Amino acid sequence: MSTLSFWLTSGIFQLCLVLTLSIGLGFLSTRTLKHSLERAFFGLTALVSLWNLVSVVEQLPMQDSDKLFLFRLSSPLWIFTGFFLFEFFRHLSSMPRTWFSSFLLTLSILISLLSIFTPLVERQVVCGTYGYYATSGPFQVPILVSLVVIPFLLGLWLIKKRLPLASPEEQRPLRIVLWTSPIIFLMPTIHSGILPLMGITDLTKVGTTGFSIMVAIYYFVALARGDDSLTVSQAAGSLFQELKDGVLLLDLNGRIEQANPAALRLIGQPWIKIEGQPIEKHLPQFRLSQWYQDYPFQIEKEGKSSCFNLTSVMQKNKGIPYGKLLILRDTSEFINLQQELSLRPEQPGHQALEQTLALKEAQEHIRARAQQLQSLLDNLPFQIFVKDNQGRYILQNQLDRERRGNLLGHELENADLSPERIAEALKADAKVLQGGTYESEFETEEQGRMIRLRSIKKPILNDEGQIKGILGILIDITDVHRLEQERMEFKERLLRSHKMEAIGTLAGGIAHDFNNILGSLTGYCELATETIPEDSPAQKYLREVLVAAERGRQLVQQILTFSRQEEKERKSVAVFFTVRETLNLLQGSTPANIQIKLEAPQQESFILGDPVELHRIIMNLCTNAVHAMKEKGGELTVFCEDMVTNQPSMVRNIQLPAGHWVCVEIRDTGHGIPEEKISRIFDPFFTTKKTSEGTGLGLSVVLGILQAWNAHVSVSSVKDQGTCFRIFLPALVRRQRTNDSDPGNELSILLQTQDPVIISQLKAAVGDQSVNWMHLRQVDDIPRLWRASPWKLGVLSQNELDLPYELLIQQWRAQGLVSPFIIFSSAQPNDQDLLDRVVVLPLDATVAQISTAMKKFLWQMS
Amino acid sequence: MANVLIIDDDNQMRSLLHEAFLLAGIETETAADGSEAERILATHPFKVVITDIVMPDVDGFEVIFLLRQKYPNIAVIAMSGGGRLNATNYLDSARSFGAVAVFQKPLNRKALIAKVQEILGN
Repeated sequence: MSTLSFWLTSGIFQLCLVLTLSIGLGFLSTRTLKHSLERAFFGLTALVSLWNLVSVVEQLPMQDSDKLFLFRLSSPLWIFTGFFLFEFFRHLSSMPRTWFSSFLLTLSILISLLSIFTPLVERQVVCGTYGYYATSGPFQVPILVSLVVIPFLLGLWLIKKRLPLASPEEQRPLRIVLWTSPIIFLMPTIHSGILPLMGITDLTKVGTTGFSIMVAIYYFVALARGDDSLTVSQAAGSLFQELKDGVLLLDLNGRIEQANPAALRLIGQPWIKIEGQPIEKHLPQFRLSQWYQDYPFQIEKEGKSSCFNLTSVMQKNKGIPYGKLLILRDTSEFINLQQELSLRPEQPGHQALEQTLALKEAQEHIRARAQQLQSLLDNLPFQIFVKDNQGRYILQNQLDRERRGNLLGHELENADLSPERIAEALKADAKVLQGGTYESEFETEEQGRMIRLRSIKKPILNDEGQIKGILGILIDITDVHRLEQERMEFKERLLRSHKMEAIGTLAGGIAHDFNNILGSLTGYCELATETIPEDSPAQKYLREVLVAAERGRQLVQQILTFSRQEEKERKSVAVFFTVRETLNLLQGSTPANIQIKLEAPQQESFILGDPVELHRIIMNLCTNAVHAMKEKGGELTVFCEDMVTNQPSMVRNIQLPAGHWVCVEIRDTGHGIPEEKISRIFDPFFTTKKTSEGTGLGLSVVLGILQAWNAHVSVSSVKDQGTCFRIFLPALVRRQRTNDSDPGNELSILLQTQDPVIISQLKAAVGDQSVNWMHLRQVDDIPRLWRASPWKLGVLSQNELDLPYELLIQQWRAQGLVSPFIIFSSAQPNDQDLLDRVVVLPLDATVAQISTAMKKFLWQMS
Repeated sequence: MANVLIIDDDNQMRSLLHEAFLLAGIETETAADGSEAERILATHPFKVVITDIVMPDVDGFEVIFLLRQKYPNIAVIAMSGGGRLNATNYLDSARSFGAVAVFQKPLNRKALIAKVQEILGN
């Protein structure tokens, strides 16, 4: 064997080794082997590389027995080619793994073992013309055929099967493999399989070379497809659309193949107009032959000009140019800025200019956004502000500025607030800066009225979650709150009126029967008093029974009044006079340890109402006051005043509308009403007194009357210090009163006597006529009352007068008191002048006599 | 023979009035309701009828109406303790029905007797 041929053979193997090794390593470095096809190809390449390496080593000088062992050891390398080829073809044709692969693998392993340890495959090493080779054992050819040729052919068949199903771009590599593989394979087949049959056995190692070439061809041609081309093209597609720069794809003749929206905008044409057109038509200055790098272009179209910088890029595929890519960068803004800046004396450097432009653009962007934000904030219907970590105001919306002034840059202490509010706000800020949320409602005064605000404070976080400031929101909930309160009030009122209705129904039901019962009681009692002797001790017991019956009657009246809210006819009532009267009556029944004081203006004030009801109101309130003080004694002060308010005002805790009011304040120094009970004092049957002392109806009756009169009442009480009731009665504007009485059929009779017998007889005499009984005790008040409210007839009883009636009447006549009088006295008048206006009746006068006397005067008067 | 008829559904009230009038020297007869009253009125002539308004069965209004029709010469006095409505409402109606006088309960006994005496005296 010649050294040249030897080295030639070895050299070829070395070259093949270099080729396949570099392919393998190159493949490994560019692909990540994620895909199974890549793995299959790499496996094949690695196998062939190894085979080449072994072939080189086999040609090295060494002992024959070692060489034989090496040849035998390397036999699995060619045995497994079948398997690896098959796997490669299988992956190429995207076929799933079947039993065949595993079977082939197993068989290959077994045969490899056979080949290594037995002479059945590689018999012995022979030094041929072109290097060492191993002679084939009896099994070699069958093994070759079954483990290499057949899988190879099967793999090709798989590819052929796949071909019609493959997409066009996949078909290309498949077709290449399908056609080139048999041709490439032919060479090793001939050299290793056919030639030995003809006797030429020394070219059997050519197999490796053939395989190396095959690997190379597969690498360069078939695997150029790239597995992630799909995603790249997808990304490229959307980039193409969204790019701000225009992109135009031209073919080699300058016709427009593709254009993105930005390009269409810059050129100013729709796609249908430019598709397939030569570019010069739409870009007149463009020359296909020229190379452009940021070359400025300007297009004038219908008054609109667009200018851009054009860069052309050659599009090559595998080194073969197939078109041009044009990148159009919009420069219209840039031009404007350039023109702007060219007016400045110093020309900044190009780089500085670019930076300034970029900065300007950024600033513009930020300004626009800030303006948008501020506009949004200013239009919100509540106050918003932002403070930094130090509590300085850094943002305010318009409403907040209006309401609280411009606080930007200032801290809370500078805000115009009360110290308590500031302290509260600082506490809130501290809490928020710790990460908490603060919510509260409070009332404050603003432009003269009270408003209610809800304050919400939250921390502001930056991207990393650190607290960078405080966001504050103030919402005006005055209206909402007021409506809510009104709603509650209405609910309460509704509830109360339901209660009243229920009680009313009940009351009405029993009133009738009760009146009958009382009637019988009173009647029989009266009969009894008339039947038994005058001096009988039983008389006074019977009188007590009558008193009790009268109380019962009054109680029924109270209930009925309260439940029906009777609309009594209203007339003008002298308030202070009535108050005085009531207090006089009260004085008699109050214990000595209670002082009663009255303060009232000289001039009388009038209201539209019923004197009896006013009397009842005052009496009720005063009785309560006395009761509160009965243990320790105290002072009951009644203070009256006439007041005119021009605007609605808050008095104590009630809203008093504007107007002319008569105010009566009843204040005591008793035990007071506990706060939790104050809201209930007007409820019917609510009482803190023992059952024998009170029914709890008094105040509800009072309230009922006051409501009917559109009056207002406020209560304030301090425990153990006293209670104060203030009632505001709508004043009646005084008409000019003449001394003549009101010409109406209203019969008003002054009653100074307290004698029940006389009174009942008078009432009997009056019969069913409606009479306004004016009860009076203090004789001194008579002239004043006459001036205020004249009556048609006065009734006096000498027993209760300090002075003789003649004297009094004379005095009164002198003062202009001209009403007629019925006097119950045992003495006849001396002064005959009085006779026509005065009738004196004995104390035991009959009803008939009284009636006659009354008729006389009343007939005279009318 | 009694000239006065008292109609009231309340036992005690009837006997009370009877007693009261007796003390005053006037004889009366009583009826518990309108139908009984009708019967009694048929027996002999009466001069005055005092009737309560709110009564079960035949109520006072009906009585007054009846009396106005059948016995126009009888003077009718109505009385009422009230009920669902204010007594005055009832009494005003009674007056418009034809009662010559109306009295509220609890009664002013003396006034009632005086009125009756007045009517009888004329």
